[in-house]
Amino acid sequence: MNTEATAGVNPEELHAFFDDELPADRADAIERMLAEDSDLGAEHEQLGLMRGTLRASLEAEAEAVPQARFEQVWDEIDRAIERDARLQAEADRSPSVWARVWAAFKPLRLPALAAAGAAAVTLAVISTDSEDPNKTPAVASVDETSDAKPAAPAPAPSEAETPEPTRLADANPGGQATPPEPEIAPMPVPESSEAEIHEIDFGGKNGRISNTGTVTVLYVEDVEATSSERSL
Amino acid sequence: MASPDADDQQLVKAAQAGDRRAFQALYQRYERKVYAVAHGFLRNQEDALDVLQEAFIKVHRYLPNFEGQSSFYTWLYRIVANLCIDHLRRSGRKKDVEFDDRLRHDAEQDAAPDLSPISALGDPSAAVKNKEILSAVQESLGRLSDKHRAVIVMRELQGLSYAEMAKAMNCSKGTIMSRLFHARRNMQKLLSERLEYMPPSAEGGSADSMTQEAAS
Repeated sequence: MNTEATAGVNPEELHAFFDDELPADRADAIERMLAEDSDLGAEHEQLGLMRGTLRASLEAEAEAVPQARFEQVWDEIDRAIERDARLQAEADRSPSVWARVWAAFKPLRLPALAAAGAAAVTLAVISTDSEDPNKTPAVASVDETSDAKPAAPAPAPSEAETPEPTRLADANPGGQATPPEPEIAPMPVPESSEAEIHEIDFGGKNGRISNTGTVTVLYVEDVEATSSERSL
Repeated sequence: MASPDADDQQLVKAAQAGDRRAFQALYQRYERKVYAVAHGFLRNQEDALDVLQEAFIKVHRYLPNFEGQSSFYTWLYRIVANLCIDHLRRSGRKKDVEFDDRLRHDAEQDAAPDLSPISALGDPSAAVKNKEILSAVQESLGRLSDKHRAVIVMRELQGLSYAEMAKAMNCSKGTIMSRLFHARRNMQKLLSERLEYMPPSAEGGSADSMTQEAAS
């Protein structure tokens, strides 16, 4: 009976048998034939010799490479692993709360910057005006003593953004309006005034003191009632 | 920390836990084997070293995903085979463009070539110590097409199964079976031709038949 298991072996099948890639029943059949057929056995043996020769040859090529070359390759691998680890750490690092808030408000950044810019310009204008010592009492007195509102600047700043008028008003807590003195020349502003002077005797003449907290003005009364002033 | 003498599985686990020395031990264990495979494919020392480097970087990168369903060296060799095949494709060598599995040996007849010179080599590991024999093997390997050399290296050196080779080469198991058969036949033929003309001074199992044929 000539079943598939006992049929002749084609060359490809012999190679597959050699590679242990045949089903068990077919492999058993070929194994029996190998024992009976010397030519088939010799060809099978050749495959083993070829495999051994190739392996030995390729391994001999690898042995010929100096160890230092493999160490160099390892150094490169090591560097690449370090680089990977660094990149991974950066990728894993979660953003801080502030970074996330900042990111969430990204669409509002430009309008906010524009508003802040406008506020800064307004503040700068107000500051420039209030730094003139001749205008300070007038502004403060108007706020405290009269119902008349000061002329508001065009882009009205918020309360928190207008410290200068508030500070000037506080400088005169009693709400006493300093009399307007259009003749007074601008004076340097002292940094602080710790001394409290209530009277003055200047060359046998009397005087009065005007203290606005940061500026103290001495008025010396002359016979002709002309005024002179000193700043302490 | 895993000892460098530990088995692959222990070293892999240690390396997965971040032990760089364990990973280095794996590298040192397989550096020459991987090089041999890569050089078998590519026939160029620098290319083979590049593949070695690339393979271990890749292994380290994917080590956390390695679950140990296959052995480490099987996994490693599969990566190396894929890298070599990619390298051959990238290098754009034209040797295989119009590839025919039946190339060379089928032009004559399908019978097995005269293999007596190969049989005369005797113990292969002793034979390749002879420079001429080693050179004949290397030259024959170099003359194979890229695909034939790839299947031979994957099977004879790496021991990959037909299914693994089919996956690596993106073809069927039947194609691999046929390709491997023709590749071996070509290799046998090339090697026999070279060994027949080997000078009689060859050591390591040079048979009388070889000497006589060379003299005739």
